[in-house]
Amino acid sequence: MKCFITGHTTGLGKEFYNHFSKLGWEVDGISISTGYDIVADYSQILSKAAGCDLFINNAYADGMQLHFLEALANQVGKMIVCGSVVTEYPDPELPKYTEDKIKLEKLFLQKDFIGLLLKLSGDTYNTPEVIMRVVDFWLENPEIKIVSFKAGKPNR
Amino acid sequence: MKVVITGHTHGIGRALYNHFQTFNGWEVVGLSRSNGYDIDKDFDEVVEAATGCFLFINNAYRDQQQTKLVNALKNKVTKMIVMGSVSRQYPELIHTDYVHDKQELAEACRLISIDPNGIDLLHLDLSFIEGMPDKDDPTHFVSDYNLKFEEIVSAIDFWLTNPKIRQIEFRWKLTPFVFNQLKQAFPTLDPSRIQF
Repeated sequence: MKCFITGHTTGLGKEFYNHFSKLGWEVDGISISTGYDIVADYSQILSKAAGCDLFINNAYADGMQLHFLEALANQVGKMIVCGSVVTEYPDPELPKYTEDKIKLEKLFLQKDFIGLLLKLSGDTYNTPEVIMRVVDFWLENPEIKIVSFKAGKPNR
Repeated sequence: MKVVITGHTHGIGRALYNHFQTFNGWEVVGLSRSNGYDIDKDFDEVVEAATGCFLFINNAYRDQQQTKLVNALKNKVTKMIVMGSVSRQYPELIHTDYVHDKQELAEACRLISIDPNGIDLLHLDLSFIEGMPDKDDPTHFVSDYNLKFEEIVSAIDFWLTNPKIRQIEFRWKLTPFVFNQLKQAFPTLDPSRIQF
């Protein structure tokens, strides 16, 4: 099984990378630290990712998530989209981020494909451990489309 | 541990009622019109019967009663599961009181989820479920693509061990069969708004 992750060297992307590596998947990814520019290398990234079993649309990259969702929804086996609870609890200090995540969620709802939208919040509620459990559960239960976490404080 | 469930004699309510019976040491209480607990007429009795329980499953739908139960019980039970509907995401597509009620219900749940002192509450956005419609189903739609009871039950079991999840939404497939029914019910339906 082949998994492709955007932003695989830091934060949650790195957790995904380690998780699927441990499961014995072939894991590939792109990130700034390995010399990729998501905007400049967009078409190259698309051809690298097309055909994988699982695409993890993780890196926010100023709204590029939306483009990956549009281009790859029907080109990959399954997709995990890292969204945010900010769509329900808008953060006035992050207007662009909030707007991008709202667009991402709207597009996600319109797509007919096997995808999971993770609506993430602050670390208190969704530790990497819990997120990986959710992902494993979803792989066994793909009728689930959105999993959203409790948000007791503004998302950062 | 005590579980109280509304609408336990039909559909997913019955499936959950049976499921929790298999939990060792759990007490399962079902409240339905058939045993004198109508969530509309007997609202106060329903609240009283659920007060103090570990898990309240807010399942039966009737107008705004589900939302009223969320608010009446949010400080009186340890955990709550609320049966919502994915249709709330498509208010421009399906404009019925049902969809409006389910939107209000989702909002009541959201407010509890942002309260740091709020109880653990799981809001489930369900799509068409096997066995529908029964005579109590307000939508009267039938689908050829249905969620299975066991899929909902396993999501609930998963949440019980991962209680910081606040919402799980299931896939809704707008098959040609479903589309035709919607078109009949809402002749002004604009197909261009549907991009499934």
